[in-house]
Amino acid sequence: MNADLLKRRLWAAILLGYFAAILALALSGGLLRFVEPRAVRAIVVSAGVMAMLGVARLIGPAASAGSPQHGFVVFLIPLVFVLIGTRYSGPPASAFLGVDQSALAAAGIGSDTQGFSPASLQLGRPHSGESQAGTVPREISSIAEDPSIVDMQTVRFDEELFFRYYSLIYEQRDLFEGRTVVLRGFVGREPSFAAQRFYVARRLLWCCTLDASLLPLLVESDRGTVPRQGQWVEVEAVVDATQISSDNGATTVPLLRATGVREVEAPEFEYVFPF
Amino acid sequence: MTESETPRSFNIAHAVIAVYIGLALAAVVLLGPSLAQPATALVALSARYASLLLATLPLVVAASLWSAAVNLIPLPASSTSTLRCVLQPLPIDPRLSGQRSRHPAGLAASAAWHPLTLVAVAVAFGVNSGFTLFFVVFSVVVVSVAALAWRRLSGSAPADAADKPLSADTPPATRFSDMLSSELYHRLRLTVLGLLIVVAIHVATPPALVRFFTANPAVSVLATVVLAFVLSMPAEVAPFAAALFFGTTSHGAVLAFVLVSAICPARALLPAWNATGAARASVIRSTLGFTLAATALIVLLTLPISDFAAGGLW
Repeated sequence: MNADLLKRRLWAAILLGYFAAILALALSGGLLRFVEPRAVRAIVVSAGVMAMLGVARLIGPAASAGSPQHGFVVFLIPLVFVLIGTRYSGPPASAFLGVDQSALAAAGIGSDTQGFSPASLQLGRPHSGESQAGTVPREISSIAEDPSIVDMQTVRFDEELFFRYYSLIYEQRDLFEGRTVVLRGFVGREPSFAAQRFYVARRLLWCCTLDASLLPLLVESDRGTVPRQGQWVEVEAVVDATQISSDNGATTVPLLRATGVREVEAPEFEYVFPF
Repeated sequence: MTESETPRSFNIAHAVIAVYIGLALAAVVLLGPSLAQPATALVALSARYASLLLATLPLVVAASLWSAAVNLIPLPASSTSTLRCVLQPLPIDPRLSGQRSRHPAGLAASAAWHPLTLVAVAVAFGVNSGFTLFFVVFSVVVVSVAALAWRRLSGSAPADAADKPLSADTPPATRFSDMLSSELYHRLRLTVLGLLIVVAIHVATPPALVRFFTANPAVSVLATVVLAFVLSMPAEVAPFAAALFFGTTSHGAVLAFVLVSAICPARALLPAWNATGAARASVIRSTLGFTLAATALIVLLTLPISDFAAGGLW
């Protein structure tokens, strides 16, 4: 067998191998680990095109321009990584495809819901009026003209600023004490908690969901309004402090004394980013 | 093709693969210690890589089919070169594109204004996000101004070979099959390698480095420009790779990655390098000039964009 024929058959085998692998993934449901259900059909059709091309390479006339000559080993890479990727058990990996709409909305640069319109480009911060004055305090923005947290009536833990507020409330608790905060998150409890206490938390995404960190804030409410675990809520609360015991001894942490707790829908993208 | 026109034996593709391997090794050496849980990180990387690869596969296959199909259709001789580039995108295979047009502006227009590129940008970032609109506007500006600037500076029209039929001596079905095979091979190979590097960088970059990039938009733009240039990903895949940088670099840097991938990637230099004959020096000069001008324009345009929403646009 001459070298050209061997390379031609090798390329055909790669195309047919990709088709077989994608078909096996689709039939076993494994494809849904990686992509959204609506994309499955397009991927299978693409694999079908590759299969037809593979067959054409095998049985068709000898080609000159279309026969790859080198670099076949590169095409083994996806097979290895897809195999490892099937062990993934986190949120659907398709969540990382493209820019999530909630991330775009959080960045204030629009979403697809209103269709295309150049006029809809938002070139100014999406906050307005009262919220603008109270959303980005100088303690976070580092801009001297911005208002301080102590000048704010209500401090809102916006999606894009959640982690920075979270850090600040632990580092400079005195700035917040006595002030009203509003934040959203999911509810959790620890066995050691008093009956009227729970935490509201978000998960921080540093690089991937597998090592996302929990950002909890302790909340105290009356018994009647303690929500169930896992429920997403919006909490309005006044910041106080309390001592908790840990392996390192007693520690003072912020305590949110809830004045209002209401159930809300979980956001499309549940994580917050550090920046 | 005469003997004197035989492509040079040195294949830049080998050098590009060596660069990829070098980048991967450098990433492991530089960023490896920051991986606290290597096995977990590897599974996360694999899932994200597989997800991106599978999601972009239909676009890669569609782009290959498009190239193979439309290049069989003869266009009227009166059509302008720009119209030809839009209607008949140049193949990504340097051997095939080298037969038809050698000027990089044609290659850039073919990729940037390809309907599938626009679809990819819209899907990755959302039609209404501003990225799509700015990609279109900036690509028109960069391709037009870079081509005009180089034409004026060089004092003559850039070398652009006349259209030649691709393997005209073979039947259309065989030509279609050959071209589809070649296009798929090149697009798929660049996609497989490029996405792997981008996902590895995304997963393994330490938070301290992310903070550094966030605090220095200029460095972000330059880094993504260099990365996009070296990786040379197909234009229909690059938006998905660029979307990984959303939230960790400036919006300008994300846009620059997409623009460079479409307009002036390293692979755009291959047709010039493989050119033969007396015009080779001129072709290389015009290609390098266009690439430098386009890259500089992209940096200048995207550098001031820190945040589309923050009024930070000039």
